[in-house]
Amino acid sequence: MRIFNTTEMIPSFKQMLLAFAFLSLAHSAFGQSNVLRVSPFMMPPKETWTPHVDSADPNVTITEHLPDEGELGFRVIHLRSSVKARKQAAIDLARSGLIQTGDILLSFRPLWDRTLAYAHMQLGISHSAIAFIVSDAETGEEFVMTLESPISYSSPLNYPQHYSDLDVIHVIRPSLDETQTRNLEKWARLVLNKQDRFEFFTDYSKPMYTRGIGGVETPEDQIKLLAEVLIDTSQSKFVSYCSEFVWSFLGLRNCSPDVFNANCITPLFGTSNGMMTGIFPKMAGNAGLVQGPEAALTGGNFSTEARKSRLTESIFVDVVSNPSDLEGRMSAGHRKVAAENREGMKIINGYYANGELEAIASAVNEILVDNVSPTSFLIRSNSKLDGLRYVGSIVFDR
Amino acid sequence: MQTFRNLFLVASLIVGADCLAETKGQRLILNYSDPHSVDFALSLIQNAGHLPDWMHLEPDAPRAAVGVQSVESLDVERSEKSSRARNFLLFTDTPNAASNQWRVPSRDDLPAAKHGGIVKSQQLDEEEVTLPLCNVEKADPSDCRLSNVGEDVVSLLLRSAPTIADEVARLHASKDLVVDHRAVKRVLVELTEDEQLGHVEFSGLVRGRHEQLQAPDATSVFAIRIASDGEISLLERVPDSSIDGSLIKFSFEQ
Repeated sequence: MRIFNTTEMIPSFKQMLLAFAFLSLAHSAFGQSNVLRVSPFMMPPKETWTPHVDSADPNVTITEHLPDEGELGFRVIHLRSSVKARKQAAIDLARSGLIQTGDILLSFRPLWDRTLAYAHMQLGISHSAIAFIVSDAETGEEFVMTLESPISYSSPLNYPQHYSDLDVIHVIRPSLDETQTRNLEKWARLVLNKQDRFEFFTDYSKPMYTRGIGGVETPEDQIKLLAEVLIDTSQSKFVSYCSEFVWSFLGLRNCSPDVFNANCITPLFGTSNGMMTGIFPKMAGNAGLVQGPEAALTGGNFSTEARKSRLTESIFVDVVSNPSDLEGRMSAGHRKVAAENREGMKIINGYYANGELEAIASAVNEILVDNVSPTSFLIRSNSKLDGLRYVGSIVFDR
Repeated sequence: MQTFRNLFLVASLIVGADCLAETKGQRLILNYSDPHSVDFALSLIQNAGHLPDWMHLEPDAPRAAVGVQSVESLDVERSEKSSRARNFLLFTDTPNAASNQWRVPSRDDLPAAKHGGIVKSQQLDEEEVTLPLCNVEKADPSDCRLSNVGEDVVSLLLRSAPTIADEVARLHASKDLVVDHRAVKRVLVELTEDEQLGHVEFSGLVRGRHEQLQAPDATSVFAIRIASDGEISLLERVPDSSIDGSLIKFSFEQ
């Protein structure tokens, strides 16, 4: 095999190589996805991104999508369009080295931008899952496998009811050491072996501890129940919505199923009870369920005035008034929840318009139960809390 | 030197082939590139059996719709009752073709819809020809026009309208489908190599009668495809591989 030494190459060949390299880079740079043309408040602040990453697979490339204003944006992980909703996407991502076991995958719906206040508050996030790097028992080939609720969605990113029409997946990384990663893998094995013990709960406003389930009276009790279901000390089913499942599962990262003791339970969020309240005024060391846009704009270094203007004039505002215009943007279920929370969104708008008064925040928190939404993980990451960092956003546009 | 030139040519071919591979059979999600076409297309496909005669295009007819403008309903009471009503003004570049303001009725209003809405003809004037394309950044459709791809989709639906309703009904019966009122509706367009319309896929319109859509953002595995020649078929999206937990290993199991 000949080894090429560029110093010995003739100039015309060097020029050809430079032209070739330029064309390749230009080709990659111009493969920008138009699905990410969203308002800045839906973008993670740059200061919350993980350090620079490289893809180890040529089928997965990385670019940055930055808006005209603010220090935020997307680190875009480009996969081939042909692998969307196919196992090959999971294989390519594993090969790229960009996904790690324990990463939180968030389904991002860019078409929620410029629609309804409630959808804006949710930063366009509709679903959450956990990623694992696993290998085929026969071939040893590695791929990404999800665990999520509904449990049937758990797949190598190819469950058609979810992944066929999913255009963007955000990746949020918790801080996990080797022991914690191993613990999560052990719990994941038990989930896969006991899938019939899991059911999906449709009402995201009613976390498990509010449903009157015996022995589940606090958020931590939910995590304990999950462990007990998996080690068969409880015959109950674990009935949860997607974010409850992810939050509860990650709460077991310091626990091993081999020697489970409830003292090891560690909720992911460092709040008073592990879940999130509605508003934490000024976000001093905390952030609430409604503060996703605020956290993004604050981390993106928008001025106080600019932040207030956006929050009150375009974010906590219903932009689309005709329900027919939403058919191509969000499901009826999400439209219904948005409609049910319309008056609440006006109150939040008033909170920001009137200088973020603690009295309004307290009133909001009184009527909201502590909870975890799929957006929660991005809110905490945007706020630089709980060791959560933004890795990138997967699109299928190559 | 000849060897180096050959290597460069080979490398260029590889890059070029990759570029060509991307443009070949390009797929567009119309919801992003032209949402107003999506709104219009959804109205057409969901009311295909009730379109007035003038909206039916002959197979070789030129494009009828080159623009869309939101207009206020002249029937305020009806408009307020029906949350699904939309008004579209079709522009045409064919002076003699009927271009009418027509109100798309809701399902509740279907009996009345047979009598049509207000009819008004309007030609595209010079100013309207220069309107920018509608895109996701424009919330108000009154100051933009459909994209060329959007126009092609609308024209395809207008040509296929007489058969859409019958074909979809046949698919409903043969595949035991029902109308899906819940999922988001998506329009996926596949272009040919020479950037002509290949086919259009609609997801979120139908689902299996016994198909469970558990999560709020779930979409049925079934999608309706309309080819450029008007042929209508049903797609069933299935996983390309299933996962048996016993056939995978976590790192601690290796």
